[in-house]
Parts: sequence; C-alpha cells; structure tokens
Amino acid sequence: MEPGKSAYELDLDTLLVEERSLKCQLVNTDNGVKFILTLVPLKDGTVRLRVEEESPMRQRFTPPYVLNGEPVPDRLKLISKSDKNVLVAYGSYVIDLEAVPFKIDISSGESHLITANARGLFRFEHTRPKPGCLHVFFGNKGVYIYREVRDESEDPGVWEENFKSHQDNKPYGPTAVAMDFTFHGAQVAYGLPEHADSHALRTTTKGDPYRFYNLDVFEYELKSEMALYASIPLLIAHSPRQTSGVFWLNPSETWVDIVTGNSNVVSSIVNFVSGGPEPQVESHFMSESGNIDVFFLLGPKPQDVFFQYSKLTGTAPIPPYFSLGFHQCRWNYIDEADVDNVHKGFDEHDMPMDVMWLDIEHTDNKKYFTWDPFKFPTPVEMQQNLTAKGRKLVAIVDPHIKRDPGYFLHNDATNNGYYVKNKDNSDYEGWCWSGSSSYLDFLNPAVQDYYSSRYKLSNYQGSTENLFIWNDMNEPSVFNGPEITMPKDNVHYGGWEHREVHNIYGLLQVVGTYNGLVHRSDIAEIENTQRPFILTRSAFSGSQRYAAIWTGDNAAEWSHLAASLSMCLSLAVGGMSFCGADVAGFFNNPDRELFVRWYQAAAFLPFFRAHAHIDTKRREPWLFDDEVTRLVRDALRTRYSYLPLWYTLFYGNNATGAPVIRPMWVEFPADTDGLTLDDQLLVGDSLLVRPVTEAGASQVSVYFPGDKTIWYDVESYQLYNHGKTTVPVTFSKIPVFQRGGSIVPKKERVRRSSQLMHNDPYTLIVALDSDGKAEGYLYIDDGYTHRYIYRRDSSVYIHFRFADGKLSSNLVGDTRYSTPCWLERVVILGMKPGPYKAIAFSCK
Amino acid sequence: MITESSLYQFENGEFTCFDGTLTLPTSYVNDDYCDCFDGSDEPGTSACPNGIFHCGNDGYVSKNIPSSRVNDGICDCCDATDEYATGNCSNTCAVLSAEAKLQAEKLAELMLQGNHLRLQMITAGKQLKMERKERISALEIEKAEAEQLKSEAETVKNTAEASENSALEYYRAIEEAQKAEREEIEKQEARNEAKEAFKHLDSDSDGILKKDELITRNILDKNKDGEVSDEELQFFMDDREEVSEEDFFEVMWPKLKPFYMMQQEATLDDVDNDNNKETEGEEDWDKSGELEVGKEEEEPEADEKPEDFEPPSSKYDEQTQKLIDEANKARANFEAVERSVRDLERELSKLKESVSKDYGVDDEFISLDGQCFTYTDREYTYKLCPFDQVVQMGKSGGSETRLGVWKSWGTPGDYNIMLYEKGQSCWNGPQRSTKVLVSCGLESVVVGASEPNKCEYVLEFKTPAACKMPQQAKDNHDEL
Repeated sequence: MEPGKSAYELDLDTLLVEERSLKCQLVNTDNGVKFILTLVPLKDGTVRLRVEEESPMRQRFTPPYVLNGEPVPDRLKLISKSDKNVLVAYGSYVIDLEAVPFKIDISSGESHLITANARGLFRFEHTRPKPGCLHVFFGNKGVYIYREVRDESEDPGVWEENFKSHQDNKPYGPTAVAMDFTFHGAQVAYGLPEHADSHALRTTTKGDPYRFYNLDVFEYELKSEMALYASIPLLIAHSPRQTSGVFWLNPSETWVDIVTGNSNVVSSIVNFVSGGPEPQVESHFMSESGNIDVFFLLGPKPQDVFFQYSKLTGTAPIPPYFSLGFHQCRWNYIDEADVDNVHKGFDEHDMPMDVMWLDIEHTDNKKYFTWDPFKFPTPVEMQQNLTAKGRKLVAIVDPHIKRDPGYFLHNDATNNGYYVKNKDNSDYEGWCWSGSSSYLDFLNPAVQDYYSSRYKLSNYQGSTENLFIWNDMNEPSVFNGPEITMPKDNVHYGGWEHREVHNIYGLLQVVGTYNGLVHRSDIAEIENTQRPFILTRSAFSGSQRYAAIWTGDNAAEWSHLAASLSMCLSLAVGGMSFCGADVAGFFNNPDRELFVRWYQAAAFLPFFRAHAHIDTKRREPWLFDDEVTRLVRDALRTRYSYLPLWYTLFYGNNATGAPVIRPMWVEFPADTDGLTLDDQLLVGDSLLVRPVTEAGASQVSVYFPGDKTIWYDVESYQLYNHGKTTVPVTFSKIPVFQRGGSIVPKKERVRRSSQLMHNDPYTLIVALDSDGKAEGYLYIDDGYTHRYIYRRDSSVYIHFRFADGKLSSNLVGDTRYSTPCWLERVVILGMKPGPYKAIAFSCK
Repeated sequence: MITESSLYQFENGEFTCFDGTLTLPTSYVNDDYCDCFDGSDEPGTSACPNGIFHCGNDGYVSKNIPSSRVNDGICDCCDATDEYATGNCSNTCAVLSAEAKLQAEKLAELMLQGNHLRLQMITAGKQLKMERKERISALEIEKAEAEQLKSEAETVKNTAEASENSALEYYRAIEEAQKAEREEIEKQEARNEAKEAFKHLDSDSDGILKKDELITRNILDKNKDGEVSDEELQFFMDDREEVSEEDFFEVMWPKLKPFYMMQQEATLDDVDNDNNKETEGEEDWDKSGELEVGKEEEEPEADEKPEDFEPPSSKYDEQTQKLIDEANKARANFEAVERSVRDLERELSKLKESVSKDYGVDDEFISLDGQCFTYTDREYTYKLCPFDQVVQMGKSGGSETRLGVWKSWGTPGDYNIMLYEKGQSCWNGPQRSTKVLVSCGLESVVVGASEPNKCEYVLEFKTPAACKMPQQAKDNHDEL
C-alpha cells in the first residue's frame, strides 16, 4: 500500500452529525464490508474515535474497568460538508474527515496536531465464516446453505497457529485492527509503558515494534521493546509548543511501531530551528482483536495531557501514608521469629521502616488466604508486634488457585464455575507456584464479588486491618503455558476469548482485591473505612485507581538500577506514579556499593521496597558493614524527612493526574536539551534528583533545566545555574537539588515508622528564585481513612508563598483539618547576606 | 528532663553546646527546638535528629535511647520518662528488675550445674587425650614392627615371583604366537569383507570408486533423508574425487563399516518388524557412530586380561603350577601385611589429627568428638557430629546430604561458634555450610536448626562444655 492510500473510504452520504457526536459509514472497497465510524468530542480537550463493524457475525469485546465511567461528551459543530470531506469544530479545534483516502485530521488554528490514517495503515479484519465449513443463513427469501471456500491468499495462521507445543485454535478467525497516527511537529515520543527501555521512545522500524502482551518474563532484557508485565497503550508526542497523546483502548495483544522524524532529537531540533522539514512522530498501532477505540488527547501542555488521560482512566486514590515509607521484603521471611528479628533489627540499627512483607512461602502450600500452620501459627500476634511500632504487614495473594480438594477456594471455584475455561469449556488447568492450578475468571461479576468477600476479616483467617495485599503473577503467569501465560483460546465469562481479555487480567484481579479491602471490616460508613494498599505486577490503563506497581524481577546490576528510573518515569506519565523497583535487584547479590547506591536512588522513587530472590544471600541493610549500615540509614532517613512532600504530590496526582515523579520535559517542555534525559528526574516540580547509577563514580553529570531557573544542593545549599554541570560525589552523596522558587515541606524528626511521625512538626525549605520569590504546597489528612473524600473537615491543602521577605500561607479550597502539628522551622535559601530579623505574626 | 545533669553547666544563664560550636541562652535548652549541631541542647525532647535521651530507670538498668523515641507513644524506658507528653506508659522498672533477678538466678543455677558437668568433661577430656597420646605411642611401635614384617614378606614375594616368571616364559611365547596367528586371520577376514564391499560398490568393475557409482548407494545416506548428498559423499570419500581399492581399505571402509553392520542388523530386525527401535538405533549411530565403534574394539582386549593373571591350572605342567601357587601365596601374604601397615597408619593419622584439634581451653569439648547428636524438625533430621561433620536427612528417609565438614571455631579462643564448611554443592549454588551456635546447657543436645540463607544452615547446640564459670556470671548480675 502506498503511503496515503487506503482501501477504506468514508461514505459521506451516510454522515450523521448530532450535537455531541458524528457518525458515518466506512467501507472497505476491497470487499465491500461496512463499518460504523463514531467521533465524539469529550470535555477537557479529548476526541474519541470508534470504528465498529456494521453487522458483525460476533460482537467484539469492550473491556470493563479501564475507563473511569463513561466519558462526558462535549459539543460538536458542523462547519462544512462536501462530497470529499466534512469539517467539524470542537472548541478551538477543527476536525477534518476526508472520504477518499480515508483520513482524519485534527488541527488547532493554523497547525495540524494529529492525523489518523495519514499512512493508510487502517485495517479492520471483519468477522467471517471459517473456510471449509458449512454455513446456514436464514434470510428473508428462505434458507441459504453454502460452503465457504478458502481464500488462497489468506495466511493459514489466521485460523489456527502453533507456538512450540501449543496450538491456538482461532475459532473466530482473523479479527485484527490497526491504525496509524501522525503527530505533526512533534520531536519526541514518550509513554507506552511497560518496557525496559529508555524514557524517550525509539524508532522501531529496524527491530520489533513495542509489544503489549502482559508476560512473566524471566530475567528480562534492557533496552528492549519486548513485552513485560504491564500494558498502558498511551503514547505521548511532544514538542516545545505542543504536547498531545493517543490512548488506544484495546486489551488484546498489541504492537506499536514508532518513527520519530529524526532518530536523533538534536538534529530534529536543529532542522526545526533552521526551518528544515517539520519533524513529526509517526505511530502505528496493531491489535489482535477488539474494536478500534481511540482517544486523541490534545494537550497542549504536558499537564493537560495527564489531566485529559486522568479524566478517562481515573487517578490513583491518595495512598495510605505508611505506604510511602520503606518496605522490607524478601522471598521469603522464614517464620514469625524471622519477621520479628528483622523488624527489631531496624530498631536496633535506628533505621525507619513501615512495612514487612511475606512472599509465597508464608502460605499453607501456596494456598492463598492461608498461613503455614508451623511457620506462621499466630499471624495476628505477629501483626500486633508490628503495629506496636506503627508498622504494617503485606501478604501475597496470587491469582493461581491450587487444585487441592481440601482447599475451600478451589472447591468454591469448581462448584460455581468460577475458573477460566479451556476452549472445550472444561476448567483450564495450568502449572504455577501451587503446582497444578486453575485461574479465577475475574471477568465474571460473581467471581469479583466472591473474590472480594475472601478479604473480609471474618473470611481471611489471620488477617487484620493492618494487613495489606500483594497481587503478583497476575499476567497471569502459567509456567507451562505458551509464553508462560494462558492459551489465547481459553474462554472467559460471556464467551470472550482470553486473547480478547488478556491485558486486563491483572487489572481485573486488583479491582476485586481493592473492593475486598475497602469492605473487609464491619465499618458501615465508607468514609471511615481504611484505604487499601495493593501492589500489582501486571497492569493496564486504569490500574492506577487500585494499585501500586513495581518493575518486576530485575537483577542486582548497575544497568537495572539505571533502568528503574526510566521505567518508573514512563509508568508515571502513563498514569501509574506509584512505582518502584526491587531494591537492590531481585536476582543475584549486589555488592556493597551497588547496594548503597540503590537505596540512595530508590529513596527518590515513589514506591520504596527492598526485595530479593530466595537464592540470594540475606541482605538486611545492616548485614554488610558499618559504613553501608550508616549510608543506608541516611538514605532511609532522607526518604522519611521528605514524606510530607511525597504525600502532597500524591494528593496532586489524585486531584489532577499530575505525575508524582516527572521527566524534565514535563516541567520544562521548551528546554530541548532535557527532552530525552532519563538518568535524572524531578520529584514534583521542586526536587531534581540525579541518582548515582555507575560504579566507582566520583562525579556525575547533571543537567539543570530551565533557562532562568536556579537550583540549590539540598545538603550544601550550593547554587547551580541552568546547563550541564559535573557535580562531584562521595559514597554518601545523593545528588538532589531544590528548584529556586519552590517551598518544600519536610518532617525532620525521623522516627521508627511514619505513623509515629504523624503529629510531628513541619520544616519548610524555602528556596528563592532570582527574584527572591518561592511558593509551594502542603497537604495533610489523617493518612489512612477515606474521610478526605467525603468530608470537609478531614483534609487541608495549604499554599505557601514567599515574596518581599515575607512568608505567608493560605488554605486552598474549603476543607479544614485539625492537627496538633506545628511549623517548627523555616529554612530560606538564597537570601542575600546581611543582618536579618524574623518576626512571626498571624492574621485573621 | 535533664538526666546527665552534671554535663549541663550553665554559666551566666548561658549554655554551650557540647561540641563548642554555639552558646545559647539557657531557655533554649529543652525548648523542643534543635539548636546545637550535636543535638546537645535537647536531651529531653525529640527535636534533634542526632540527640540522645537518657532513661534513669531507677531500680533497673539505665539506658540511652535515640531522641526520636521520645514521645512517640511507645514505651522505651521502664521508668516511662520517655513518654512524658503522651502519658502512654507507666513505670515497670520494679517488675522488670524482679524478672531480671529471677532470670539471673536461674542462669546462675544453670551455670553452676553446668560448670560442674563441664569440670567432669574436662577431667574426662584430659583422660581421653592422655589415652589417645598413649595409644599413639603404642601404635608407632606396632607400626614399626609391621613395617619390618612387610619388608620381609616383600622379599619372599619377589623371590617367588622371579621363579614363577621364568617358568611362565615358555608359555607366554606360545600364547603370543597363537595371538599373532589369530590377529592375522581376523585381518585377512576384514580385508576380504572390504574387498567384497568394494567389488559390490564398484559397479563398472574398473577398480576405482567414483561419485556416480556411490550416489545411488543407500548405505551412504547417513542421515536417512532418502538421498546421498554431496556432504555425505565427501565424508565417506574423505574429500577425494575417486577412491582406489587401497584407499578404500585405508580410509573409506572404516567409515562405512558401521553402516554395513547396521544394515545387516536392520535386515535382521525387519523380521521383528520393530520399526521404532530401528529408527532410534540409527539415530544413535549418526550421533556417536565412531564412539560406538571404539567401544566394540576395546571389548576383546578386556576379555583377554583375566587370562594373563589367572591361567587355568590345566594349562601348565606340575612343576610350573607349583611355582605359581607359591608365588600366589607369597603375594597374598604380602598384601595382608601391607594392609595392616596401612590400617595402622590410618588410625595413627586420625589420632594425631584428633590430638591437634582445638577442643577448648581445657579440652572440655574433646569427649564430644566421636559422638553425634540429632535434631528433627518438620521436614528434616539434622545430625551434628562435633569436630567431624553435619548432615541432613529427609524425615521420611532418603539419602544424607552433607551440610559441612569441621573447619574451625568461629573466633579462635571464643568457643561459642563452630564452623562446618565444604558440604555438598547446592544446585546452581554454593557448597553448603553450617554454623553451630554453642551455648551452655545441662546436656549435650541440638535444640534448633534453620536455613536463614539458601544452603547456609544454623544449628543451635547446647552442652555443659560451654558453661562458663558461675562466679563470673554471678558477679555481673549482682549489680542488679
């Protein structure tokens, strides 16, 4: 197919423009198959495009739980219509639908933003009868019977396919959909998590496209487009003047080809400046099944795109405060005495820690929701020992269910038909940690209810309100399945094939877990229930509303430490800010240097958890030597001192979808030298962190973004100006800089756990910009209930401002919260030398 | 509150931080705001990140805690002084003191009894060590005698063997002649076989094998894909264009012979109609044909060996047979004497190694050497044989896994940790090792076993040998 050519044409005679939508027939001129195209503008700068078959032999799957409710349509106005095209207006945007070749172009003023099908790659494999089969139709002139003849040009793989020893029957034949999107003027592409790759996406024409098919990948490779555990098909294209996105809502196996105008960003900028050809980002989305359901997020600023995406898929609830502290995990803490010794070890070594974790070995033979009766005979007591220090426990609950006739969950699931089925409708059986296992079909609403009820304190024996949940292996992982997952022709509730559902399986599980945790106690008022904390490995768009994510089974290597930054940055711009990586690498044993550097880096990623493979040496942070112990203690304390900042940022994320950690381009969209950086990150808009990710480093290269922005080293208060600079580092140094113009809230009395710091006073670090001004925010609530959602007296959002030598605060919004906390200290950076006098005053 | 009051000297209403960096008004001390870099101005609050809070704990043991534990709602001081603002705690020092006293008394009693047993072990140990040393001296003498016997037996043996050897020379010559004849016949047979094969393959009977003659021969289809490829031809023809009869015999036949033999077998197998087996067999030939051939050639040699050493008696005349019998007897006698020398040496070296091991200051651990102690948990039985090794067995039987052999004490002079290393290797991991934590108990017994790291085990072992002098223990606890 030539670029720009397309076999598909709009039949503008069928055009129907309504107040909030546009409908038109789309025809495949090769075979006459008809489709319905629907265009709906949405509130807040988004356009939704759907294409469906006009009369499909079989309906296509619409994934639940991805969208946070039905998007709200906005007004549309017909500008003009000819036999070639139709022009409609939506706000300040003009949408041009071209009939032949079929093309949709969205522009704003003079500039084209996004063109769909510019390259003519739109495809929609219509549902069709299987060749060689007898078909019976009841038409208005009687009964027709005919035998379908195989189209010789058809790929034989479309009706069945073999992968190693697995055969995939494709009873519904080819059902793929594809479309291309061109972002005009865009220089860099981001998003499409989860891939172990650079934050700025690469041109993929030389290798495989980026692949979305949630998989349990053993020892995954870096710098790779291979599929990992999670799929967030959100693509963002960026230039200094325009940021836009495309959200491709399709949970089946998906591939995305990317071409950035120039493989080299710098030269594309040079071209742009010198008036050369306009750069652009081209993308090509291909999915194995499902409908075409695309959202164009029109920006124009990075934060607008995040807001638009959050309007569609929702934002993360404010996490319980403790979950921002430090998590200590290992596969596996052996028994209750082991757990006790480790959490006491943190006290002995004066290190703060909030959560102890139990991996699969804590269960009775990998039967989730149970405890090993010998190693963990008194789980409630164990949790009480932790909560006495303000700490919590997390236990793992995986989706594979042991096929054990003595296991209530297996019996319930078998008797009620709650398992995912084989193509012959028998219960699917696979191999996982629990040996022969079956998999709950979370697509079934009855299974959702049943699964949620398992978390009730009265059902989950040995659980308490201080137990939280880790949903692992939920791609789902099946050790003996094709690509370590479930066969695509397995059957879910409603007759949907696994191929259609696959990428939301993990999302479906955390939905059940989330609802289960909210309603596990007898507390009647929803506002008084505790916030859940869930960690998931698999995710899809929308998972941010339920769970935090980590980057899976990484390795104790410097390259994996570096990858934790780029991977979490991509997940963050994809809506999942609550991200971290296993500290200090899941596989293998880190040396002391890597171990320390990993803690120092992870202290500035949202989710901070140490975890290790069962074959690794014990590595509680005091097991190396005194220096390592001291440096890890410092890193942990640094983390805890900034908890008010993290919590405030998570509030912001909840409110607007603004990522908690940000790549440079988000805050400095026009600073072209910073567009592809992913070895440094911003915490909110105030801290610049450049973790040391190289062995033996005595210096690191830091890029200070922002033309007129100044930055202060948070330890030495040394000043840095815009540009690339080499900063010397020692073993104890974490290069962190506060932006001039920001005010950062801290709590500097670091205690054994975050809960014990709840009533402690705040410190404000006021870093002045070159005009002597600064501002910042602080959010406070009780840290663990849902009152912040439902009540006006349960949270407070404070705006601090420093100008003309005066620091003032005012409450944003109309919520109030009573707290014994006070402001104990204000540190002002960037004051000119001279004698000063401080006066505290209050105004009514 | 200020506890280390002597350190807090105020002069002219001023306080100087301990590090000397700042001088502050006294009202700044314990005002819940950290002024000093060393945290010394806030000994009674949680304000300083590096501060220390002192619990007096009257009636019990005083202690220092980090300032961050002041007023956090958790009772860290038994006198409750750390929670003066939260009011969460009450004074429990008296209770703790009583408990500690009881504990101390129990411990003292244990130590007292344990020490008594330890002294017995020391006496027994000294006795044992002396016995071992005596045994060594005795063995040294025995060994010298045995060595004397050995050298005599060797002389007798050598003489008998010399006579036997000369008598057998005649027979050996005959045997060798027979063997040579046999080999010549075999060689001729092989040559004939090759000749026949050559004749068969040489379709145009010109005495030269060419590619077009061979390409039609199934026998050359090594990989059984139905055709004779160039590669296969090159293989058999050793990269030659044509093969003469002499070359055939030297180069091609050795490669081809296995396939001929196989074909013959296959023809036989066809009668059984066992196709699967046949295919498997062919694959084996493909992969390791040469190896198999080598094996077959070795076998006849192996068969010959027994003949050399034990000639059947009927073979020899009476005189020779007598010499052989005598030589056998001399050999047997020598071997017996030699064995007893080796046994003695082994026992000696074991004893010497034993008396050189570190059994404690007073050899109090020596009697444990040679004993074994088992401990069974839910899955495994562990067996500790002090100064020897540690093994693990499945509870329901199965083979033993060695978790380590005796290496040394953890710290020389500190007799509380035993190290056992170089156990069986873990799959994909290190060699197993075991640390044995040794503590005082009234009997020698293993009381716990765990595997805190993969393939690194910890056993807890109690023994009177580890009971320290009760006086010391008592002194320490009298302070309470």
